Amino acid sequence: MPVLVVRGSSEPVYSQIARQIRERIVAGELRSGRSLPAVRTLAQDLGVNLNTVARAYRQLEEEGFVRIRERSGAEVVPPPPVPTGADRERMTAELRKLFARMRQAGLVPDELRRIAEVEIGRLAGQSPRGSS
Amino acid sequence: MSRVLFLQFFMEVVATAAIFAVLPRIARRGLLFGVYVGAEGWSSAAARAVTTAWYRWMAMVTVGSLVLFAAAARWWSETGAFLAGSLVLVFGCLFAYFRSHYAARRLALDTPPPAVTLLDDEPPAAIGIPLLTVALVVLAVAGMCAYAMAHYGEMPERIPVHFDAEGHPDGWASKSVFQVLLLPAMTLVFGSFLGVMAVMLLHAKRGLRHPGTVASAEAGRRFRSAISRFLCGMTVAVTGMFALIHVGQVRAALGDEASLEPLVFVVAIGMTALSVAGVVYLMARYGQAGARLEEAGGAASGELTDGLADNRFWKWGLFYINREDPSIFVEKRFGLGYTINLGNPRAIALIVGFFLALIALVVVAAVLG
Repeated sequence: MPVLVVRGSSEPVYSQIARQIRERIVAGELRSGRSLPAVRTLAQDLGVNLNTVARAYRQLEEEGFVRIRERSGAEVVPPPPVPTGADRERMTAELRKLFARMRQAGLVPDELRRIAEVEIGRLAGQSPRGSS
Repeated sequence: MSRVLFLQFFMEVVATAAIFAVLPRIARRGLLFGVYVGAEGWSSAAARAVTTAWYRWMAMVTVGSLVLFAAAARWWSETGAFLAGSLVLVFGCLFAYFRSHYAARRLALDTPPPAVTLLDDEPPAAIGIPLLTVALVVLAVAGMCAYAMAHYGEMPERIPVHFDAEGHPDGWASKSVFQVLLLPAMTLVFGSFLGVMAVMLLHAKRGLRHPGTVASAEAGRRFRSAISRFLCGMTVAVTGMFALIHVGQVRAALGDEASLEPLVFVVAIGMTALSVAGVVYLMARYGQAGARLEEAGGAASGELTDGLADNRFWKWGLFYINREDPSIFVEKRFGLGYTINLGNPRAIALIVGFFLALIALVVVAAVLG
């Protein structure tokens, strides 16, 4: 399961690492309980600073996808329970706020729709986060 | 010319030239004389022309070195012949390398391929053999110390500390505990360093390909294990050799001056033959960092990535300098084995520490002697 990093890309290296791992988790390729390699292993392979990989792992932890272990590596955590009515309402409210901020920043509704479609399209065909 | 000297030089030239000459044959696909030229460029006619020129130069260097050695030995001196022949060999190989390297740079990729890593689990590195090796070194050194100290009282006030090519003492020093224990101390420093290296090499930076990443990782893992075992074997051999010399030295100090003679042949020929045999086996079986396993597994068509593929991190194709990279050991781009990441202060500290320890021992011995 390779992770590719392009130097000089507009997307920071830590973000490239976090995004690809996130995509694998969402697609069910990395199931809950599965260990991720040690920070040093990834940093050595990619020729990047240890902090860069650690930052990617921290971001994934903040997003709730992984749990960082005592000794460097990380572990994929189980998916959250199926959202209840109240959860869905809270998530929708968050999304509403986000769209409002983007609209305030000058994005027209057509652009917002396109962004939403692209993101939903990315998720299409991917199974929800699986559990072991 | 002494038989030992001639055999030593002959083996040195033949082994060095033969090993250097065939290095392009074992190279990982994409690496041409320390330059990453891409999988496609590697198979081009231009790349083949660079390699052919290398073979021609290496043949000239080998013949030139042997002819100069024979001529100098005949009309000058044995030491001069050895020195002159060796210099021609070393500088000839360097010249041939840099000539080929700069030719290969014209084929270098403009943009390096992306860096790649794997999220798959890799079997834990087997550090049992290296640890056992270090334990053997410590035991051998303890034995050497015990043997020397058991005979310390019988030794005269002046003891032999240096021996000529035939194994006869030609340098003496005042007897002291440090002088007697110098060789065991050097054995400990040398053996421990090699043992630690054997462990560290198991965790060296992986030279991965994409696509074919999983297969190239497996080929690299097997190669790292093999070279670690080879290093352990060499450590045991070197320790054994030092232990034998030590026993010979103690015997010589006790008046048995012929005690080192049978060891000269072992020292001069045996160690060279052993290391050459090991290197040749690794080259034939694995190729550069597992290149042959990659070829056999069909993983060699992918592009190499990051550490090996990014030409910006390499100086003359020999020195890897990446301040961001936490790696200490990195695959060589030309030849068999590993080099250090000169951008990592820990790697530099390791090498400097080793040499400082050896130099300190020699200096203290010289002062006390």
